[in-house]
This record gives sequence, C-alpha cells and structure tokens, in this order.
Amino acid sequence: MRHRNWIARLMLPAALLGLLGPWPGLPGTRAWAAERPTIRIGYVQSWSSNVASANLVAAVIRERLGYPVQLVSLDPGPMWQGVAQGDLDLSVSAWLPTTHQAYYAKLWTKVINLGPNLYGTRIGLVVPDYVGIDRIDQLNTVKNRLRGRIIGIDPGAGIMMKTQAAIKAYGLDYTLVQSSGAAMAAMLARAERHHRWIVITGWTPHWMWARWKLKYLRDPKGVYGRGGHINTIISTQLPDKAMPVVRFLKRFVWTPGQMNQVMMMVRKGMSPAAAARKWLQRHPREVADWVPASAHMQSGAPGSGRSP
Amino acid sequence: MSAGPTQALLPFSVPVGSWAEHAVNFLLDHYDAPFQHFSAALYAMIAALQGALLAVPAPLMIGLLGLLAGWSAGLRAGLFAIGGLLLAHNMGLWHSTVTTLGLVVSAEVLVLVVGLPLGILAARSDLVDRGLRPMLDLMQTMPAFVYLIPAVMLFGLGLVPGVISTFIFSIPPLIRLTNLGIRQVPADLVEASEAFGATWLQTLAKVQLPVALPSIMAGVNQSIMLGLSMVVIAAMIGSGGLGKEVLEGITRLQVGSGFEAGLAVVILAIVLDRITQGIGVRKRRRR
Repeated sequence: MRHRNWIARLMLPAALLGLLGPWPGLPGTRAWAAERPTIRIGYVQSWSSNVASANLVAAVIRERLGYPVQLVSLDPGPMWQGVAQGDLDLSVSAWLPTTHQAYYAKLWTKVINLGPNLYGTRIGLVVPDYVGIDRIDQLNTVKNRLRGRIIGIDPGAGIMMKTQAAIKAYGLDYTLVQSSGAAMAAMLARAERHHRWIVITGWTPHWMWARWKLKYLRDPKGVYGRGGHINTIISTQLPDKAMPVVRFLKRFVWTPGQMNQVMMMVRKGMSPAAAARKWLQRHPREVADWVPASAHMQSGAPGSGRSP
Repeated sequence: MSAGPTQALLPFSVPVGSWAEHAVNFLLDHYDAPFQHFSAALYAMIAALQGALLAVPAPLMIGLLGLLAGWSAGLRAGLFAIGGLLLAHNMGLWHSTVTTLGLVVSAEVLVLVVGLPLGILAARSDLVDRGLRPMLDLMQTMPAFVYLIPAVMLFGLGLVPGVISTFIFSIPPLIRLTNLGIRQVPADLVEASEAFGATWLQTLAKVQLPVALPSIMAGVNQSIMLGLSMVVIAAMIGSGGLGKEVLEGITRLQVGSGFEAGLAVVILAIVLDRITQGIGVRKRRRR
C-alpha cells in the first residue's frame, strides 16, 4: 500500500506536466511554445484515405517545414467542430460537396476552405461483382436475396442522406441500416467470405476496392452526383499561427492513384507514418511543387509564421 | 506521436493478433450456419419482446413503470418515473425509449439466465471462481469496439450483436455479486439447514439465495446500468433506439437533439435503477 502511494505521488506531477505540455495556449508554457507551435491535424481513423493523407501532410509539415505535429483521430463531426473552434489547426479530410455537406453547411463561416486536395472521389451504392445486377433501379427485383437492406454507415454522413434520397427517387422497397464505417466493412467482409449478396453505401477512395472485386450500381437518375473532391480546411487562426503551413496546404494537391500507393503500403503492414515518409522520398518532384525550396525549414527562421 | 522502432525483448514474436484473427475466421468458416440459426432465434425473441413493449399504449406503460418504481422505491421515485417518462414522450423519443428498454431487458434476461448459475457455481467452488475471474476482467475491460466488429461478422448488424455485446459487457457484476452474496451467507445458517437434513438444492433455494438477494439485486442493478451505457456503442452496429438518436444528433452536430436523446437514456437509467435497487432493499427491510 505504502509502495503504491509513493508511486502515485511521483505520477501526479508527471501527469500534470503531460497535460500542460502539448497545449501551447496555456500560460506558463509560452516560452516553450514560442519556438514553433504544434500543428494539430484532425482525421477520421476509420476512413483509410484520411489516414494516408493526414500522415503525408504530417510528414511534410514535420520534416520539410520543421513544425511539431500532433495527429488527432476523431469522428467527422468532432473533427469539423474542432477545426471550427481552433482546437485543431487543419484537416485534409473534408469530403465535399457530398459526404460532409451537413458539416460544411453548418460551419462554413467558421473554417477556411482551401479548396480540393484530391479530385475524383465518388460515392454510391456498391455490391460485390458476383451480385447479378448493375443498376440501382434493378434492386427491387432482387429484394429477397438482399433481405431488403442497404448496409449504411454513420447516421449523419452525407452518403446516408443521398441514399435516403435514392430510396425515394427509385421507389426502392429497402431499409437503410445505420451503423458505422467499420461495421459496414465488417459486413462486407462477412458477405464476401460466404459469397452472400449484399449492398452497401460505398465510396472511393477506400481500401475495400483493393481487397475485393466490387462495383458501383449505375445511377441513371444521378442521385449521387458526378463525384466530388476532398478539401483542405483550416482553422481561422492557422494563418497567424503558422503561415508556411498554410502556404504549403494551398499548394497541396495529389491524385487518387498517388494516395492509393500510400494506402497499399499501409495495407501491407507498414505504419502510416513510415509509408508517408517513404512516399515522400520517392516523389521529390511533387514535394518540390508543394514546398518550394525557399520555404524549407533552414530558411524559415523560428516564429517567421507569426507575421503573415 | 507515432511510436519509434521497438527493440525486441524476446527472441521471437508472440502472434497474439493472428491467433485472434484465425479464431474469428475459423468460426466464420466452420460455424456459419449455427451462428445464423442462433442469431435468427435470438432475433425472434428480442423482436417479440420489443414488439410487446411497443404494443402497450404509452400512458399505460408510463403508469405501470411509475407504479413499479413507486412500489419498490417510494412515492418520490414513482413521481420521478412518471414525470421523466412523460418528458421522454414529450420530446418525441417514446418509440426509441421503449426500443432501448427492450434491448436492455433482453440483454438482462440473458444475463440472468447465464449469470445466476455461474455465480452460484463460483460460490460453491473455488476452482470455478479462480477460473472465471480473469474471464470477467477481460469482459469488463476489453474495449467494446474490439469485440463489436467480430460480433458483426458472426451475427450481422442490428439487434442481435447489440444485445450480445451488451450481455458480454454487463454480465460480470451479476456473477461477482451473486458469488459474493452467497459466500457471505453466515456459515451457521447453512450448517443449521444442513443439520435439518436439507439437500444442497433446498439449502440454496431456501437459505442462501434469499439471504444473498440484496447482493444479487445489486448485481442486477449494476448490470442494467452497464447495459444502458452500452446503448450508444451498440447503435454503431445498427441496434437502433436512443443510441441511434444520440449518434444521429452528434454526427450531425445537432447538440440539442443529441442532448435530448442522452437525457432520455438518463431518465430510463434512473427509473430502472430505482426499481431494481428498491427490490433488494425492500427484501432486506422485511427480514
């Protein structure tokens, strides 16, 4: 018992220090924060595309611009809220105009939208390629094999609202089951294992396309739109806090193919951070486009970000 | 933030993760049909219970729960139950509240059916007790998401994995407290009943269980509370009810509707807490 007490007495101040450490806004940590503020990046862990882009951006900011970086994994709602409040500095995972539309509509005055960092996203109803239909309007004819269920994701996601619209537009006799990204992927894995029929709300880019043979159901009425992009959003404080980071983010654009290379390295067992570093080493040209040599850490004096 | 390269302390790596994965895959490959049947049977039971609860008109249900709370925990609890449930109804959450009640009650029925015998066994045998304890620790502290996803793969989405994960999370306190309650029955009481020639079953039913009842009811109470705390997590695998409303509210950044649904969970928790706690206390008073 006495032994425990002793440990506890040591742990408490350590824990308090730990709490103070990463928050540069707190009084008392000013001197430490003055060097270079930590850049906090929000991303959605369950969406593997976000893991790839967040780690890539983190590696650039850490290694080329010299800022400490903290990656914070959250659900999309808190991620948007965090950027709007300035608790997070940025996210490169804003799916517009579709999946994250609800958040953007609510918070667009409180974040800065730097525009797309990746074009060519897509959402829609997805089935394994052994499912014998090709169009959304054929769904009613195979209702029994699919048990009248569309397996969905998080209730607030734009893809869910679009699917409700599709159910109405095509007169589908289906219920949309709410779950989460991880549960949807688990259901797909289970169906694939036994070659059972399933229809899910799916999107690109996602690792499921590399793992299984899947297809989008054609959408003649265009409910799901023509495909969208992933945007970069930053907090309104970031330009004052770290202008070099903003300059980099404005230039940061890559392609689904490039993102796929990072996702594949992660799927093969590499850590996301290592995969991002490796990708950067192999692609000096892209990096030079995003971060011109003049912006490298050696030329930017500490604190230079304070005067935009 | 990422951990650096780790130095191996052992000359080999223990493949814990791949064992777990193989176990799940083995179950998926070889026991798919039994899991489907079990899942369907359990679904029928839960759906029947929920249907029955939903069929009761709201005023009647509110009155009944109010009476139950009043009978078991006094006038104030009864009035709170009626007022709180009226508020839940007023917020347009009645259907979700009853759905959640059905989910929690189904899980609790399973908890009782499995947990009571296990608790009794653990009280009778130190070996069982020692074997169960690490299992119970595992069930209580393993983060729910770890077994939620395998549960989805085995049982699909919806009510069944929701009830099963709630069951796993909330059974340990009942087993522990049943075990404890029976072990704390004074030895002279048990000896006396044995001296009068009672079989062990008679001793159990007439002496040990009645004396241990307050402790067992505390276990029931705890497991219901834990069950309610699983409601939101279970909604992530599509089990519906108030958890769904909470998730919908927070994922759409609608703080108000998320709070309303959360409040309904609290009301339901307090009502169930007073009812089950009251039963244990009443029994103790009567002795």
